[in-house]
Amino acid sequence: MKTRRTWLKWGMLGMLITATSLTRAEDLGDINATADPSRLVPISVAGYTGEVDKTLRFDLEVAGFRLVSAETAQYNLNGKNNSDVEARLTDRISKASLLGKQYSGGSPRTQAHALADDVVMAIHKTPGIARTKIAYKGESGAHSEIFVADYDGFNPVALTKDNTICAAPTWVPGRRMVLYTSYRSGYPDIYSHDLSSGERRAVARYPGLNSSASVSPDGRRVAMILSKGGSPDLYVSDIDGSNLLQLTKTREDESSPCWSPDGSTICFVGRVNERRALYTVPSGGGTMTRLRTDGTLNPTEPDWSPDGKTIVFTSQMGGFSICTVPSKGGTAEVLVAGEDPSWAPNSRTVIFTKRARNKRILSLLDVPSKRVKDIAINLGNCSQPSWAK
Amino acid sequence: MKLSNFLPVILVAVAVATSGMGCKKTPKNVTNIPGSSSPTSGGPNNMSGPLPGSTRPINPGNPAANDSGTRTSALPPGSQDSGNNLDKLGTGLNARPEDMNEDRLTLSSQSVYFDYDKSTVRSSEHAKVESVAAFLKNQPKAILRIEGSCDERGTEEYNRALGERRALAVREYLLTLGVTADRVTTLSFGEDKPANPGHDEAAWSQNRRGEFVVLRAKQ
Repeated sequence: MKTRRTWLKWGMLGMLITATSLTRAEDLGDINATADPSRLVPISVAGYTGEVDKTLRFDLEVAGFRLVSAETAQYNLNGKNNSDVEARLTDRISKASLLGKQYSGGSPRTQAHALADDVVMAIHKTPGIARTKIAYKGESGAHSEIFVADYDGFNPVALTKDNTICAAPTWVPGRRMVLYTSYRSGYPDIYSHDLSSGERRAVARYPGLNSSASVSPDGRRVAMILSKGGSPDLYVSDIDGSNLLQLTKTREDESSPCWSPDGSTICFVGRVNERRALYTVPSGGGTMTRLRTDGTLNPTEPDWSPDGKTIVFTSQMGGFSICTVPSKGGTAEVLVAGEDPSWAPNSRTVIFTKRARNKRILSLLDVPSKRVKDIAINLGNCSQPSWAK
Repeated sequence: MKLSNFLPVILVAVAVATSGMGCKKTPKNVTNIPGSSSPTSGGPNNMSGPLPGSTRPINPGNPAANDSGTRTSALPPGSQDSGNNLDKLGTGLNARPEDMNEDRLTLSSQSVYFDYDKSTVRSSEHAKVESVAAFLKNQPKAILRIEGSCDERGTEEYNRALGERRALAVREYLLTLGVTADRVTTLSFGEDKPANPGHDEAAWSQNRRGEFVVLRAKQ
């Protein structure tokens, strides 16, 4: 049954399904066909009910775990949520107790998220992502607005009510602030929006295009695409729009800048001799250098991992694919079908847009295992996710 | 990173849990989650997770009120939104979008179409641009807006830039025909405003376009 369902669901990728993944399909639940289950950590979860159980399982699967029976698991997570969430995590082989905790306050969901993050810290030794936020472009009638939600899509809040096109949200690192493009003036302009005060300010509204904002890791500078110079070029300014500096001056269109974690370099999409490629440029100005993405075509939408090692991007080869390449450039790896990737703060998980006919949804990718989990609630058509860091 | 406030709590909890008496039935470590059901407990030291924390309300504000259509909202320091320095249309005429009437009909049959992923004005489209140039010579008070669009076979921000590049290519051709730069403004919709919502080449070829909108000052 599950094998058949897997084939149906992933029919287009059917040729990639290996004999191993077929024979193991019973164990793997909804793991996508291209995933590498050997990179997932087997864990059992027992004792939880309802929303806590669902939330916890979703969080752990996104975080690179595989839910299995207690006997085959490497780790056993047991607990209950009669009232507050309680948890005990043990290593099945060594019998070592890794976690014994009780949670109070918040909601069942936030308690489950907190537990998931504790499990991730105990096993992966890295901070979890279950209580992080995303921003995205959501369709709203004939228009699109900017929304902010929990990383799993729950608790969506409309940030804009502009009744026009709003797009390209991006977080200011370390702050409760989002920048985005809105056509509310009739033209695409860049705004910053403080999530605490609700205050909105214009960052760039020059003639023509103002879009694709990306904020430096220190939160002080904005890279963006402006066409005021006669062609869509890359610029940087201070976060308030002042001290504008033009970084590229080409006849072709540049797009989608992102920052290296040390703030020294900006990676973006350029086009030379009619060929799209990723380029880097020093953020203070300098020469455009091509970044090799061997094995892929038409790269766009780069995003630099917070640990600095990897750039994730979209390649267009027929459809769209999420790909990674070492940040120095080189041979790229094609991961899964999708577009518009954004790294989580853990430099391991990526949120991206999955496009089907007349429908776009957000999905979460565990990069090492290539496992994909669609966001569990229906947010309508949405795209351009940006992960708060 | 931003978890640093929370980390000590976790580490202490793990340390206590794993040191000696880890096998008791009731966990001794209680992590309090700030949130609605414990409104007094959400002190800053309990904030967990990067940025917004899932427990602090997001305030969308009322941007429409503080930026109400008049383009006089908060601007970056150093610039004033008094109208004169904010030449959004780029026409040098200090024309604000809300002061103009849009005429989408007059030049609707002159839309310029593009090849896939290209922003070059094809020779087959030259006659249309030339007729637009002639129209502008006869309508000295009119301003032109060129709206560039793309098919869906590109990523969104790439298409937003490509649509602008297309509109600018049409603008450049108009300028070679003697139209002055201050009369032509550009706007890109990327793939957000398809003329045809279909998903085949017939639809895509109609969506890769530059449309002409005539702007006239309201009387």
